[in-house]
Amino acid sequence: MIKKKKVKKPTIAIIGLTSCEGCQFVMLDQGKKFLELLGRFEVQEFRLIEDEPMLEEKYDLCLIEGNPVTKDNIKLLKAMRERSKLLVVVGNCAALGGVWEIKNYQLRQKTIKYVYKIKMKVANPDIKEVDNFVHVDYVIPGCPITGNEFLEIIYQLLRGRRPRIAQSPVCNECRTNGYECLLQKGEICLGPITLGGCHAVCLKSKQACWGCRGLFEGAQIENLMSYLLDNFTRGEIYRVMEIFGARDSILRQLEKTKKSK
Amino acid sequence: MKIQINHIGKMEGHSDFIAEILRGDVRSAKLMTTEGARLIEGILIGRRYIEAPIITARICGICPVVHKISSIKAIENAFAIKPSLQAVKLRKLLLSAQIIHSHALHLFFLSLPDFFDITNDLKFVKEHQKETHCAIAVREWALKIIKVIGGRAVHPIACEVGGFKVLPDKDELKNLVNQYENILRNALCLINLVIKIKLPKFRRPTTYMALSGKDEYGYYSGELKILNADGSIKIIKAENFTKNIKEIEEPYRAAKSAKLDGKPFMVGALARININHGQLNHLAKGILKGWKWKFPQCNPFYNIWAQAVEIVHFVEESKKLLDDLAKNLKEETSQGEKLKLISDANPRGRDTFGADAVEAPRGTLYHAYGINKDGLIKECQIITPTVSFLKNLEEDIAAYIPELSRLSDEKRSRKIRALIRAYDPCISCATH
Repeated sequence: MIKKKKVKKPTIAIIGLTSCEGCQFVMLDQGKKFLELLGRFEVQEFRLIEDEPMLEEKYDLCLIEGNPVTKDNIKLLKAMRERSKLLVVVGNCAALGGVWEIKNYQLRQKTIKYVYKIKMKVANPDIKEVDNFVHVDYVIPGCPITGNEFLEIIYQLLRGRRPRIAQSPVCNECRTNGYECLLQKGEICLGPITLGGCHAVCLKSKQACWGCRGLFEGAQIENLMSYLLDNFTRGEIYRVMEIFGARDSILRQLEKTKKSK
Repeated sequence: MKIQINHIGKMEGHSDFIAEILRGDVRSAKLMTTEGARLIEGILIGRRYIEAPIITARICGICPVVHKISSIKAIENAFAIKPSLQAVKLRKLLLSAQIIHSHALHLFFLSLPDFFDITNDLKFVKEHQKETHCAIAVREWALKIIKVIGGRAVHPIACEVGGFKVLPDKDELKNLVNQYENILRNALCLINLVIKIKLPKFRRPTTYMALSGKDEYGYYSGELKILNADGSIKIIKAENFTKNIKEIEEPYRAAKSAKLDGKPFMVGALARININHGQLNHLAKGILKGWKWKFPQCNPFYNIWAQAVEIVHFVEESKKLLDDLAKNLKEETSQGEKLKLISDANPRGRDTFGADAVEAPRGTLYHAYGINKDGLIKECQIITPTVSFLKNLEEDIAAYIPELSRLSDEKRSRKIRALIRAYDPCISCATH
């Protein structure tokens, strides 16, 4: 993948589609560590720090943050895929749709009419994850991403390795850290099926996991569902899954496992 | 003639600028936002109220703290519950830190390079290594404060309707106190860089608005004070925000704009300094005095000087709060827990409405919610600072363009972008 030549550093593009840009701020918030990382690359496109980018024909690495909501977003996303050797999606909006995906479970036209009283030429599509539009090589999950995990993955790519996030649930980290189990306390917590790596940061603040990092491979969704259904309605559980756009992927996976049995 | 600037970089969100000029007259100057609409107010309808502070924080990755706190305060007003004094202090500390880190980022990395004629930050960073170190140190301290209290710097977690789910560690607060002298030195180093830059001599009197506190520089609570161009002052209650400030929808952009009593107005650091400069903390006040400004300062470029002096003010403010909390922090149960709000229902047992305003880094932020008896949101309105000042920014650019007539297209474009960035617009917030 990324070849290290003596003269030329690998090129990187950091692209923001529609989002809060929080994941780009997590990158910036790494301070010196982030500047060091950027020093290893030829930074060709990063709107947040550059006003007049010099567009390259090809990129070694392209980071996509945000969700392709507008036609321009989709066009840019496809163009970047064509020009990039590796495309990595960064954060929940790109990977799972983001909190705006809640709209998919409402009447879209009603949702937009609530916000705009006059007729607008505002794009109002169903929200879809980036991998519906282009091939994605790697995913850095979370809302927002975890700073040290981000640095680790990018450095691995830089060294030509194939990074892989350990496939274990948020629950493991929660338990290891000795945080209170909110599932046992009677809340809907998606920790048992959600990909760890966030250090169970929400549980530390007594906030139940709402699955912003998506499923890990081998998640026992059926077990969690049957446990939750003893105390909550299906609707209540789905509502929690909707917040970070995880509902569709969780239910799809659940269907798959049921069929294969 | 047409001036068009596509994809303005180095600011939060995406936008283009278009101006039409006919025989020297600026006919229109429009900031066209190209950010996709996320319809946050719409998607909240029918959702549980506890989701609002979490979802609205996602409006903006640079100022999630203010959206969260503004949302929480509005819902508390709807429920007629009061957080403890300790919870208020913790929130104030979060807000102070939010303003510090947002300003430090905008000032140093987004706006200042414009006045050194540098378009690429990495180049700017190379040429100003000492100041880069100062800016990063100040930011990291502020981010650490948010992490210690909120559990995470971007999209903090611990604050909830009623108070805090968990309280910070006292020792970590003490550590932050210990870094104060060093951080203050770094903040003053930034001031020294800021005052070296020469800003364009442009001025246009306008209306300014900011929260004004009884006995503090307004940011967490208070009344809205409006300073008109003729020097007259008007005071309105935060909950009457939308009686005076009306949002405007324009078919050509997804972001709304707003007018105050039918006129464009300015919010943000310069507005706050113009209105509340007498209440700045000691050192910040001294720095401002040294500048010998005549108030109101009507040159919008000075918004970045105002941000610099606010960094010092809020570093001092954070120190006061940190000292107090590091000494006096007590275990307490959040009102949210006490009222068993987790059960979702509206504690008043009927449909209620609540609104509130706080000062975000970029100006006054308004959140309002109608919540039904079951605790579901049935009404939501959010007016962000960028929505508020958008019309004023456009009028400033329209007034500024004739002063640039002798410049080449390239230079003129840079000057316009510098003015837009001096306002520190957040297009993500505006197109929520």
